[in-house]
Amino acid sequence: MERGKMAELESLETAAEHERILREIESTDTACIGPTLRSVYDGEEHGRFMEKLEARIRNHDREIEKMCNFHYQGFVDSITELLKVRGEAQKLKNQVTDTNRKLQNEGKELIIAMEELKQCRLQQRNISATVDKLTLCLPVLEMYSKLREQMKSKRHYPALKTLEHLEHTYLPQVSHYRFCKIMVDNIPKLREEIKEVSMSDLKDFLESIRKHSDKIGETAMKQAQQQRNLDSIVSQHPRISGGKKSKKEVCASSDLEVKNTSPMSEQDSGILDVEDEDEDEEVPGAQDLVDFSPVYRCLHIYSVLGARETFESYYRKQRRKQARLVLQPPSNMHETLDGYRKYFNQIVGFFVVEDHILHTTQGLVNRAYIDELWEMALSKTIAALRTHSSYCSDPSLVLDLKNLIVLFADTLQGYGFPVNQLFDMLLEIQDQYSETLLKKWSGVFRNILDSDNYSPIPVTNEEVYKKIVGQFPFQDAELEKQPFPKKFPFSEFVPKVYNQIKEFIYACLKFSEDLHLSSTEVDDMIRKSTNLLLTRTLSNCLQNVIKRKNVGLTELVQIIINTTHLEKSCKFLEEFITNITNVLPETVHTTKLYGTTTFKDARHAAEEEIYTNLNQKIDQFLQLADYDWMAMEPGSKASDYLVDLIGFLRSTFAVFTHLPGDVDVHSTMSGKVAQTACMSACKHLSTSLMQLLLEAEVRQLTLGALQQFNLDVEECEQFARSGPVPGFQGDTLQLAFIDLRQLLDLFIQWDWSTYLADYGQPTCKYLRVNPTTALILLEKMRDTSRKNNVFAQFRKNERDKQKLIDTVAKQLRSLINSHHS
Amino acid sequence: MAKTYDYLFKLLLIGDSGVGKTCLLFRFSEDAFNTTFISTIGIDFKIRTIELDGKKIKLQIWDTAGQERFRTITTAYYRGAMGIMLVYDITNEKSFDNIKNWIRNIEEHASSDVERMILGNKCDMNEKRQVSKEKGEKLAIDYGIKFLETSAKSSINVEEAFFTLARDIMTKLNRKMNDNSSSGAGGPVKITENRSKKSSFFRCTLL
Repeated sequence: MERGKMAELESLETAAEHERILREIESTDTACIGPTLRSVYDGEEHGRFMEKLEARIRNHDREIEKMCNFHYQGFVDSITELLKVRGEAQKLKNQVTDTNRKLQNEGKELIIAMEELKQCRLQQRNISATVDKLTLCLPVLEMYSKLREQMKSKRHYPALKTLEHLEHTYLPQVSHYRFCKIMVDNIPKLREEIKEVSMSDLKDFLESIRKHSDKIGETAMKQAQQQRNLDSIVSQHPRISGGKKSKKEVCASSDLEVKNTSPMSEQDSGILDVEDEDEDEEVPGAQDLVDFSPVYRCLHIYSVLGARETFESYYRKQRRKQARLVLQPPSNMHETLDGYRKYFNQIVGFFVVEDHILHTTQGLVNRAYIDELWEMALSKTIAALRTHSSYCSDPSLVLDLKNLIVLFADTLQGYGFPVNQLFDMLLEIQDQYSETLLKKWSGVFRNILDSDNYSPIPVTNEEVYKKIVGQFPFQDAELEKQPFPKKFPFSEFVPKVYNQIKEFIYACLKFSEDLHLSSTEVDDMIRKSTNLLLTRTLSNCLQNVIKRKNVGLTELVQIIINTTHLEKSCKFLEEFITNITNVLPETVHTTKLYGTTTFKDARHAAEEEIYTNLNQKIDQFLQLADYDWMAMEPGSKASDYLVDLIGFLRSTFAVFTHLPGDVDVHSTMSGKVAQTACMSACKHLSTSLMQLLLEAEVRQLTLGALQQFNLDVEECEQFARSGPVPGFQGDTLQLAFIDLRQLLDLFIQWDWSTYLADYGQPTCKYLRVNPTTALILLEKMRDTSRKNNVFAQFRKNERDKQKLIDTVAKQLRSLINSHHS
Repeated sequence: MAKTYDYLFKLLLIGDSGVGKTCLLFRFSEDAFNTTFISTIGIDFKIRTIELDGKKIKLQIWDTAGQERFRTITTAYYRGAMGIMLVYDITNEKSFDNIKNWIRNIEEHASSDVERMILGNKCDMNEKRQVSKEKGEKLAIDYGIKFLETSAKSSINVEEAFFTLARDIMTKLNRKMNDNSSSGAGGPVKITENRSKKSSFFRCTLL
């Protein structure tokens, strides 16, 4: 039952369901009927549904039939209506078709136009897009082309700026283009290229600066020279400090020129702004010769490239290398002044450039670097100058060199470099200069002395007289009174030497010019040098003439006279120096001139030489002596050689103490010299004769020979007595022969008893006879006595004589011995 | 005292001032030359030993001042001279003309048999020559004297001149010695025979 109930319930449900589906089918669209049908199929009761559906359809058909029956008339009317409409519709349809066709025809054009319009629109859009893109790209390309242009025209710094712009502003905006990629890739290359090119510019610059530093230096030195000339016109005592101020004025005016004449700096005006700051300090002109722009450009380019330090160190390294080259003096520098000038020009040029660089760049070079270079330059220059100047033997070259060094120092001082060391070195060169002067004057003096004729200067007229007196301070009232022709007492060499001493003083003075020395220092220097000239050079030259082989009495006597006059002229030399230096000789520090000593020494040497000379002549005569020591009888007169000798002495002294036939002032020995010469000659003659007599080679001599010898000594005594030179007191001259006289007297008079008895007493007649001498001579006489033994008739006599001789000899020996003990 | 020579010849140089007497002597004695002219004052001498025929001969050559003012001093030396050189300067006609006066001086003051010789000096300066060699030669022949042109500067004929004069003196001496030994008389020439070391020593003690 349950089941029944259930089934009943179920069928109720199904029926409801079917009812709902059917309603759905009726109400919905055909399209949506699927799912509904599906639900039917999903259900189980297909049959029932179908039954229901059939039932429904029948219902509906009935309804339709009913409806149709009801509305049939209406229907027919409608159909009729419709049929009418159908005709009208056909007409309409035709009209529409027609219209449509017409429209189609009309529209075709429009479509074409539209099509065109569309195409245009598209083009327009494309164009505007292109324009947009191009506006972005064009500046880049413009920049790039500008860059190219700049590179081409070598304006590397702007190029570099452009490059930067390009890289940072323009390129990022259009980075996706391939050309941009290429550009970006190119940028480092371009940078490198710029770097290289500017570096090669710098190298060119460095090379040209090396070539030009000569010229720059020359110009700078010339300007310093002009400045100095200007200063010396302005003030009497040119000083560097004074010169500096006006130097700035000059430079200010020519700064304008510098600016005007450098188009390169205009081009790169941005870079050169730095220059203006210090330019007032610049000394003008020298740098005009150089276009510094490559340095500035390169410096800025490297700064921009961030390689400033590399650049700095490169620049300094290169310049340092150049400095070393410049400071290397050419090996033949000392030969000409030009050699030195070139050397200095190079150095000055170098430092002018560095100075300019220092002032026109910020820190490319700095003080420390320049100072270091300058220090090196100083030490090298000084060393080079020391070496080279020492080769120089020409004082005028040394002087020129000094002037050059002074100019060099002044020039560089003008640029602010410390140059004290150079002036210190100049003092060293001064010593050397003095040495070369001394050497030169040694030659000058030698020439004067060699070419002198050693005769008093003859004067025939007033003019010549005045001329000589003008050359040499000589005053002699007596000589002045004498009529022409007359003679100065001295020979040519006196005024010549005097003038040369003055010349030397001038030459010394020349060196001290521009050395900024005080007048006392100059005075001291001149006096020292002059003293060296007198005491060393002139003295040596005089001594050389005096000691020359074959020097004649004429020369010697004239030298004595000349030196006497030169000695007197020394005080005029003192005055001369004083006038030059304005330092009074009374000043404590002044050195005195030693000229007096020089001339005194020379005179003494000449006097000595006269004595020696005479003695040598005497010796030559004595070599002609030809005594026959074994002669039994003496000759009737003095030996020939001795007569000649005495004749020679007589005429010589006559000539030199009073020249015959010459009443003027003349070259005669002064009384004292003549006396000394005569005395020395007599003494030498006496000693030589004594030696001749005692000579060991003469083993024996006879009384006859001794008597002949006595005749000769008498001849000498006669000469001494005759007063060959005036001024001897009594028999002073004769005393020269006293030893000989007493010895001869003793032997000729055979006065042994007196000799031996009075021996040692001051009154002894034979006081000057030395027992040794007596013994030697006695031995020689004894030998002759022995030989003569052959003569038998004299035997006894001889024996006695021998005995006497033995006794005397014995006595003499004991005297000699007692002397010794 | 060892004797270093066999003969002593005394020679004399005379001639005008500046003809080169001192220079000739300087060339002969020192073989040197000095260009500067220093006039001789009074008298000077030099000695040079030469060898002739194996004999050592000392030549004592007296150099006289050419200047007139020394004439009294220099003429005193004529007497002792055994040979006299008369010197003139070929570039100075006057000095040549004066040779005649010098010869007259010799005749007046020197010994009669003195050997003489005429020298035309400075023959190196041909471009300044004023006296031809022929003229010199002719003068010498006229007087029967030997002649040479010399140059002390270029050392031309200097040795020859002195040697010639020395040889002539020597020849004359030898001839005299032979005459003396043949005649056996004392004669004017002193011969000291007791000397073994040397042959003889001649003095010009002729007058």
